[in-house]
Formats: sequence, structure tokens, C-alpha cells
Amino acid sequence: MGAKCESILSGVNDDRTDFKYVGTWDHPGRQSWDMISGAAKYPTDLWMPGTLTAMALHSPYGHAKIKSLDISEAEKVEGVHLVLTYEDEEIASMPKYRPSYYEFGASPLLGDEAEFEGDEVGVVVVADNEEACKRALDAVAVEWEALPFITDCREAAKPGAPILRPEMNPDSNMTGNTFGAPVEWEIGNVEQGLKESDHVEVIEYGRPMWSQFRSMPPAYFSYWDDDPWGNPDGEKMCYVTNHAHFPSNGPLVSAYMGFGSYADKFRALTPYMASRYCDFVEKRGAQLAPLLSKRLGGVPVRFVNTRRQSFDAAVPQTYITARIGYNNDGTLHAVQSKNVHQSGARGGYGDKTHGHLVLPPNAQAFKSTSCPNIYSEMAYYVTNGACTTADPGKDMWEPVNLAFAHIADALGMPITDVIMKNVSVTDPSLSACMEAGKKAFDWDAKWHKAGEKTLEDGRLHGVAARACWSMTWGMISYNINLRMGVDGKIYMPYSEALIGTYWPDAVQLVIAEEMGMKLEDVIVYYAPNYNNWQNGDAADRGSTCTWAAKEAAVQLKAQILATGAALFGVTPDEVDLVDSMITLKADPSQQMPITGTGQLAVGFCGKPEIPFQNDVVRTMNVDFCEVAVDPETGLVEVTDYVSAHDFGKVIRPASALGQIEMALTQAEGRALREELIWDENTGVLLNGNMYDYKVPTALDQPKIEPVPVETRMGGGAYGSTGVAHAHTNAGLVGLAIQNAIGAWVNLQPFTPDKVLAALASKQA
Amino acid sequence: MAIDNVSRRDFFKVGSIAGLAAGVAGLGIGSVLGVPEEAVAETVTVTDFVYTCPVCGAKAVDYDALVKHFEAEHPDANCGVPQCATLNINGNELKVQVEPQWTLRETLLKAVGLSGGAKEMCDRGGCGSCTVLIDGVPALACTTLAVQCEGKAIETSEGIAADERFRPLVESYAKHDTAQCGYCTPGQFTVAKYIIEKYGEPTEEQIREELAGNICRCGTYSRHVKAIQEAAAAMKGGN
Repeated sequence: MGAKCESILSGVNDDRTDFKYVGTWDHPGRQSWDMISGAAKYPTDLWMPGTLTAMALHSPYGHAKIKSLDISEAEKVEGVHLVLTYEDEEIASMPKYRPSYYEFGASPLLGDEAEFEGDEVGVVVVADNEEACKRALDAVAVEWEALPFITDCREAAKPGAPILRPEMNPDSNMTGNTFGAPVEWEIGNVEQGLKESDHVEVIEYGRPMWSQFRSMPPAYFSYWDDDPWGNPDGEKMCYVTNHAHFPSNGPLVSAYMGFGSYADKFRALTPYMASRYCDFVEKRGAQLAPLLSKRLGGVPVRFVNTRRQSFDAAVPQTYITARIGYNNDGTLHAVQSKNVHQSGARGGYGDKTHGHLVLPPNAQAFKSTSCPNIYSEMAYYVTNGACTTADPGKDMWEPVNLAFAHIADALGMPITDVIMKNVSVTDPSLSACMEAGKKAFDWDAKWHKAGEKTLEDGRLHGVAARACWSMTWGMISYNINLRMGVDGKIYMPYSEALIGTYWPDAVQLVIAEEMGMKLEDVIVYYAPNYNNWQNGDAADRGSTCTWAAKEAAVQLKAQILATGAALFGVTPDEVDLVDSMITLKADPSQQMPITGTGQLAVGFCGKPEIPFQNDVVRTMNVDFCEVAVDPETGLVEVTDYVSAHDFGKVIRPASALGQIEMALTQAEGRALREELIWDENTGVLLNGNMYDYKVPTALDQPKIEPVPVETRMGGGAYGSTGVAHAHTNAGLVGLAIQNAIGAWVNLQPFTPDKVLAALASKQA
Repeated sequence: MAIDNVSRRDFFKVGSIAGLAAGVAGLGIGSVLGVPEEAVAETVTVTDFVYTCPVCGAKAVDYDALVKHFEAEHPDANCGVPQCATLNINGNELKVQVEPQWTLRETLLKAVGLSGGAKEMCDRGGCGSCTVLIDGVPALACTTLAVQCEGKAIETSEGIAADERFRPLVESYAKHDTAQCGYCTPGQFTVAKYIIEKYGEPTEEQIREELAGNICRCGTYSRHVKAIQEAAAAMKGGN
């Protein structure tokens, strides 16, 4: 067993135990009616009379340069209003760095070099409709120079591989923050540790490019109109869609940066952006739509991408080879890890995240074990795969759990025991999750040694478990403004596009709880031009945002009570807020509404003391998986998922538990089907459509049982913490398959061909 | 089906769901402060039709006026009198000036103003996001031509949500957080109506089978099962 961590609840009322709203059900989301009915408008739903459509030329080659362009025929196509090339002066003057792209190397808004198949390059067209755009793009005469391409980072790493971005690194394809040399770090002495270990094994982990698959094809809508708040300088106001979740308002910022303008001249359209889980890749339309609209006198321009063209945001490839040394008691003694990681050709979040925000599955999470000797070498290699972005899961724990599974298999002990022996801090969170999860899953009855159980239908039965952090996003300061309206309601504006995690609704519960307001009197609302980076936005961040909302609520309540007490002629200690009414404590029948007591407001910006949990095992979760593997076909069915998750404190149960169901559904898809496949001869993406890229359907979704655990050890309000990031990784299913078939399948997804190959190698 | 002047605020009151409806007026700009107390669900009520002369681009506010203009101003035009498709959308008979190649999804977006229900995800009949009901049966608006729909009853999520009889379905959908990012939700909600009408009280297996053509990247499927079963039970009991 590991160590115990102590509570670090750091805010006012964090230790509250009496809850009226927090933790209760049946609070429909504020946007729910609109989303269900279709009243909610997403960027693809925007249309005004006179709207024109814009599209870009997309590269048919895996890597190519435009030698010459002739747009004269394109300009003659009926319905075409504007054709611009990369040589256009205004386009060429746009900044080469854009905040929402996270590019390592600068690149033009529209250049003459396509870095991957499907890359937007060379030409943009504005026409009456999509058909006219396509006809015009077909009429553009392009002379291409096809360049060498690589779509696999292992190939890019080989000596003698073509250098893809010589301006970034003339000597090799190693780019990103590793820039010319791998990042290495070591704790203890790994060589010595391996010598001291009772057993040494090599483990392999591989993940292909995987598409988050944004459900809405990227669409940007923009027009210019008079400034409704006055127009002293004669400039028009630009209206533009603004759907990106990190950094907040990225497209909007991109747009006004591009024009050398300022936020007050740009207005955001729509709070909705559809599913983009850690998909930070912004398309050029964010800047091109307002530019094209401006060139055409401000008419509405809708910059669109087809479904095929929108498969260009993907989680990068990662391949790990590690030597692990462990002892007969199941304790890990040494890890020597080497990681080859893909960075995107352009616009890759992976380029920028080494070492801080979104770590690929390297040896980082081994720091959360008691292993005394750890060595990590990690290098990024540029490829001609599509833009890369972050993994929405917590992939740092994938190699850790793989190592645990190897130890468990070799020593014939349950992986649950190996987890508990090795994670450095087990109490209270990990122990509680393990106990609750094992019980719900019936682990003790289901577990067996690898390859030892066959079901009545002939399929092979396997189970596995894995541990992971439950993340608190303690590295962000949350900016909360609360004010009391003249109508006696409490208002909190936010300005970020919604990804659907119900964080404003969780925040509403906390504010009502702390202030003593009725729930319906707390309005957390979208104010598109309240440019207050930053509130909640994504899942784990949203849960931590509740902490700052609580602090602000307590401060505003104090102001209201002070004012109300004066009206009652008593001290603030003698009154309270009860169901939105200022109430005399000594005689609760004496109440007055807060309406008219003043115009009160507070601003609070701050963060909980808890750090970003890269090395802290404060709140944990344990997932359990059961599979049935058909030895004839290699088909795998996930028959049971149980997720015991330490929420710290559940704020809004419907969305908290929903996050687990949904994340595990994504994990199932990643594990069994989802993979972007590139033709190695042409560099062309082969399965960029809804039929060949297989997102889980209602029939694929496995049985999922979320088991909430509450230790109050997180950093959000009342010790709450995040949910979804912890569960979307695929590795657990692979561990269960190994338990079923007695052989390792090292590469995701665990498709029938790989399962059959593993079975064959075992028999051989 | 009476769908005119449905107030979202009234809807919430009757539905016992606290809070104001989020303000999504017009193009989706606006906060709750900018939305009238009795905000009309403009996406449900079609009021703003414009008919365009194919020769000179002149606008008319009703079809008969367009024909009158055309015959008076362009008697020799070789393109013929502009034609309209008569579409029955959410119970309303509408004369819609459509291009013959326009899909129903395109028509709902560009000509009818019902732009949020039949959403584009794949535009190839592979995802179910643009599902509408045609004569009560789920159909994909992205692969159905508008002119094919003449004489047929078209129902969109906006119309279903405004239908008193299906209020329990909207309520259960909201209660169970069936919408995560919300993009595919109108399509699933539309199929949900079909499921309830077809099965009465559907089993989980029947629901999953019928929803299998609706892709949800967020993975909300289990929520739809709960919501549909709860609504079906409530509706069987007479709402």
C-alpha cells in the first residue's frame, strides 16, 4: 500500500456538508431545450439572405508545392464572386503565427506548399454556392511539384529519411519542442535498477493516428456591419463564428489579429461548436471568412469544409518501447522508456505540449508510482500526416498500466494488486475507488490468469483493470463576475463556446448553494462579447471553475447581507439569504426580497491551491473491463465496463456520470475500430468518411456502470475534481484481451486481424 | 398541429423546467438580457419568405406577386414562370422556391429558415444528423431532394419539440442530458418520436436498433434509451 495524502481544501465553505442543490438530480441544462429542438444554431446552421460560400483548394498530394497557378478560367465560372491566391497582398500580409493553431513553425495563412493530403493551399474561391465553388476550384490550373512524404513517425525517425521541414530542422525530422535532440530525464539509476530487479521485460505500446472526429464539419460564418454601439471611427463591425475551446475565443482572436485590429471590433456568433474534444486545430476559415467578406463589401460569407476535408484533426502516433524491471513481490523497480512521437505537419498541438499541458504517453506517469529508477527519452518527428492535436484522454497512464499488466501476468497475480502495490499514494482515493469498483464489477469472481477461461459459446473471456488520475485543472485562474440584477436575480456571464459538458449548469448549482438563492434566480448565461478569458469550458476545467464561482458567490452574498441588514436595522450576522429572500435569523417569517437593495457585484479571479496533477495522486479512478474474444474471427466484444471514479464531490450528477459513459464509449471505439489509415504509396487518407472511419453507434456502446466515489480530495468546489479526461484511452481493452487470449496485442486498435495474429503467434 | 407563436418561456413554465430559455435570437447572437421575455421560437414559425425573380432578381414577399411580376416584366423570358414546390413542413403548407437540385436539408436551411434541426454532419447519408420524418418515417434530408417531398408531410425536430403531445419527450431528453455537444441531438430526437409512435413502449434493444443510424461522437446513446423509455411511459399514461 502506498502513502496517504491529506486534504488541502483551500477555499471558503469547501468543507460544507449540508447541500440543497449540489449533488442533486433533475436540473435540465440551460441550453438543453435549444440543443434538442434544433433552436440552437451552430456555425453550419447560419444562413442569411445573400450568403455566399467560400472554399479552399485542397492538396491531392501527400506533400507538394505549387509551381504555377492559373485562375483565369475559375474566375469565369458562373456564380463566382472572388478568387484569391496565396500571392494576394492582403492574404500574404496576414500573420504567420496564429494563436489557435499552436504551430511550431510559422506558416502563411494560405501558402504555396501543401504539407499533407487535404491541406488547404494556394487558392480560395467565393461563389453563390458550394457547387459553384467546386466548379471554380476544378477550373484552376495547378502545376504541382510532388515532394517526398512520410506518414509514419517511425519512418521519419530513420536515418536517411527525407527532411520534410528543413526550415525547422535541416538535419533531421525531429521537431517540436524536442527540436534536434530527444528530451531525456532520469530519476535514480535505471541501468543499476534493471540489474537489481528480479525480472526484466520489454514492453511495446503503439497508437496510430486517431481522429477525434468533430461532428460538425468546420464552418466559419462572417459578415461586416455597422457597429450597433456607435461608429465613431467609421469602421465596420466584424461578426464571426467563434468555435474553439482552447484557447478561449481562438478564432476571434485570430480574426482580429489578422487585421491588426482589436477585440472591440469583432463580435462572436453562436455559443455552440459541437464535439471537439481536445481538438485545437483551427482551420484557416477562421481568418479567411472575415477577410473574404470584407473584400466583398461585408456580405455574409460561409467558409465550408466537406466531411472528407474535416478529417484533418487527429491524435498523433506514439510508439513506446520500454524495459521494465520488477521484483517477485510485484513492485516495479526500474523503467527505461523510449518514445517516438508524431508531430503534425502543420498546426500540431503535439508540437507545443511537450513538458507541460498535454503529454503524450511517455514515462511521465511512472513518477506517480513508487518505482525508484525511471529513465525517459522522447522525441517528436514531423510527418505529412494531418494536423495533430491532443489526446482527450489521459494517455500518460497507458504505459504505466501496461507495465502493471505485464507484472501481473508474469507473476500470476491480479493487476488490481499490482496497482495497489505500486501507485505511490493510495489513500484515500485509490483505495476507495479500487474497493468500490471491484465490488461493482465482481472482480474477485471474474478474474483469472491469462487464457484460462472459455465461455459457453466458445469465446475467450478476459478481464482487466487500470488506474488513472482524476484531474483537477489547478493551473488556471478562473475569472468570475457575479452581479445582482435589478430583477433580484444573480447573473454570471461567460463567453466561451460550449462543448457540452454542462459546466455552466454545475456553476449555477454552486452559486445558488452558497448564496441561498433559488436555483431559478441564478442565471449563468452566454454573453458572447464578454471576453473574459476564462471560465470553465472543457470538462475538467469546468469542474474546477466551480471553486472560483463559490468564492465569488460568498463575497456577493456578504455584500447583499450587509445591505439588507441595514434595511432591517440589524447587523449582517443577524440576517441570512434563504430562497432568494433576506431573512431575519431570529424570526424567519420576516423576509425581504433582494430586489431594490442595491446594485451589487463582485469580480473574483483565482485558482484553488491544488496544482495541476501531473505528479499528484490526489484523486484517482479505476476502470474495469470485461471482454469476450472469438478465437475463430478475432472479434472482440466489450461486455462490461465499470468505472469507479473519485469525483471528490459530485456537483451535478447527471453530467458527472454522463461524462464517464461517454468517455468510455469513445474509448471502446478507439480500442476496437478507430484508426486513420493513410496509403503509404500516395500519402492519401483512405478512410476519411463516415462509412470507413467507424465511430461507435448505439449498437456498439457497451454496458457501462459509473460508480461515483467522493473523497473531497480534489481542487474544485467542496473538493470536487474533473472526470472525462481520465477515461477515453483504449489501453484497458487491450489488457483484457491479453487476459482472454494469453498473448499481447501491442498496437491499437485491437482489430480482428491483430487479435488473430497474436493468437497464432502464441500457438506457434 | 398548431405551432404558431410557441413561446419558449411558456414552454419552460408548463414543462416545469426552471430558468429562462437561452437566447438564440436570429443568428444566435445575444444573451439572455437581449431576448424578450416572451421570445417567440422563430425557428418553429415560418413567417419570412422571399421569392426571387430568376431573370432580374427582384424580390417578392409572396409567390403570386412573383408570378405577376414575372408575367408583366419578362413575358418573353425563355426560362418559364418560376415554379415553387408545395411542402408541408411541421403542419404548414408552404410554397417554397427551390432549385431542382436542392436537397431537403439545403432547402430547410436556405429557403425555409429551419436551419437548426436537420444538421449536416456527413452530407452523404452516413450519420443521421439531418434526419426528418417524411410521412412519419425517418428520412435523411441530405440525400432527399426537396422536390421529391411534395405532397408529403415533413416533420423536423423544431416541429416535434413544439408539439404538445411530445412535451414529455423534450422534458425527458433535457432531464437526462441526452445532448452533450448537442450537434446530433435533433436528429436523434426526431427518430425518438418515430420510435415511440412505432413501438409504444420500446425496449432498449428496439431503441438502439432504431438509433443505430445516428452517429453521436460524444457517446450519449445510453441517455437516449433512458429518455425515450421514460417519455414513452409518461405518454402512455396520458401525458
